[in-house]
Amino acid sequence: MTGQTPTDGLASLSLSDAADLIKAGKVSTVEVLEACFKQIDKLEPVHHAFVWQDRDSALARARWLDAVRVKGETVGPLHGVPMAHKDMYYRAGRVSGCGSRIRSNEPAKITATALRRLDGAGAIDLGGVAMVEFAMGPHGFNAHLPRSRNPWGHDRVPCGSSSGSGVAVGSRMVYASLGSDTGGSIRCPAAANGIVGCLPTNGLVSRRGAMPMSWSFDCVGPLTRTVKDAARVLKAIAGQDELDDTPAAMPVPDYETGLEQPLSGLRVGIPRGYFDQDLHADVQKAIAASLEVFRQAGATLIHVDIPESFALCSDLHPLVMKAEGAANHRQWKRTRNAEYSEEVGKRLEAGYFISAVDYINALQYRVFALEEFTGAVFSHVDALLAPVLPMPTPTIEQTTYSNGPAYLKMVVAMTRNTRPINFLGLPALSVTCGFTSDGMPTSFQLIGRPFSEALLFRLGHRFQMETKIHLEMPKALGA
Amino acid sequence: MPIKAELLKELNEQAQKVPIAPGRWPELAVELNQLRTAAEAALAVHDFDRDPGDFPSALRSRRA
Repeated sequence: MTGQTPTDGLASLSLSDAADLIKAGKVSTVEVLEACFKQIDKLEPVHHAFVWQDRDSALARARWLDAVRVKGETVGPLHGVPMAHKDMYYRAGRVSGCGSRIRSNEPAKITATALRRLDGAGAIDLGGVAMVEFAMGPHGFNAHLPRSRNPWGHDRVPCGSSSGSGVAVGSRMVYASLGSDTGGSIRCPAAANGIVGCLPTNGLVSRRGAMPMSWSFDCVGPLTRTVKDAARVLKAIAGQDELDDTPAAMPVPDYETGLEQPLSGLRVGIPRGYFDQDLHADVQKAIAASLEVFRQAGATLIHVDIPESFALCSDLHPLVMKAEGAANHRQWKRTRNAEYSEEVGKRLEAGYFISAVDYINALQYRVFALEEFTGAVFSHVDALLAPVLPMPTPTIEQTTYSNGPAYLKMVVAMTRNTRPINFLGLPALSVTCGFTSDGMPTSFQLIGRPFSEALLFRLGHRFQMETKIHLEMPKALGA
Repeated sequence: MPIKAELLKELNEQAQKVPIAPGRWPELAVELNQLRTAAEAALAVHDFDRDPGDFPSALRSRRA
């Protein structure tokens, strides 16, 4: 399933390497963009990562960026880097369909802060990528769109809800993509597609102009090929926003500066409880090997007990998410119900019958659970290492919608390791750490204290430098 | 006492008014009872003095 030969020299570079080459004048932005077009032309007919592309605008911007660079200037650290984002980031005057029929003809009135910041850093917005309808579902399927294909195995799901982001970056069509993570929607597709996914601390990145799904949990973050790339993109989009009060009032560090610092003195936690339950042997093996990499790199490994309240966070997450999602969609559910797919339409329904008191108590519990978890875990370790998906990447067949118990069990299991982290608002970095015996990539997530992204990047970057697993290429890329 | 499908149906007719297929009510009752079980479990440590809107400050106070 894996090979070492990149299919296209430019398209297979990391974002950081591509940006650095453009900055140095060794390659033009137009050349980089055309390499992406070539990769898209080759794979998109099967992979279906995109909902729309705007190549003319992208090329015009690339030419302008090249003209700027010829004068010896660059717009920012992402100068000339082609990206494409989950089709739920609004740009004024443009339609972002949010994977739905309902929003498929409605131009946005505002531009998302994250997009404005990427523009300001010099990135190119090439198109909108596929997503689960209204970001409601972990397997990646959207009944309104062609099926997005996992480049590591076309019979496997790409996971979601940021399915197109995972496929586009994993297929080397673009260098990075913004996803959104409410219960695992960045980390799961990153894991399934063999790339990096960053869930920032709740409140680090502005959500203005991003489609709301569940405002208590929604986070904006990047999917990239390397940890260094994620650090660069997060730096560009994070921080206070005069148009959105939610981001925390604190400076955003230069995450790339500390990436090469040694790991000696750092403590990595091995969870005892919750994460070790229902864990597939192949995933367990990859996790154990990853821990050994960190030990050999100088980190100290320490077992930590996961508090019992963590399992309750997992159970309460859907209560909050469904109540908030139902509120967002109530008017459309009443008036345009037939335009929802059956699967997503049904997923919204329970939210209409959750009591306000249960909802508020769940949010109050969130503060208690955060105190307990940080006390139990981060008084002993600097970061916790846990699997993202507890099983090998599921097949399409295993996740095809039905009323059967196997489907429901699989859908719930896919986010069992990710959704409690959203409930707690903590940052987590998903990094490919090996392969299951079927040849599919599998990932760990490094979970840290609030606003400890710099530390997570340092750990993840060292892992990639030690193992080079991130350089493995999916067979579908023609290696 | 578990939530019954009939109660949900009545609530929907009186308040929410969203179209729900007739066969869904028993499934919804099962789902709602699972969520209620979780909500009840949280009550053991529920603190009514805690403002759920303080979560961002709780995050900030627990950073390294």
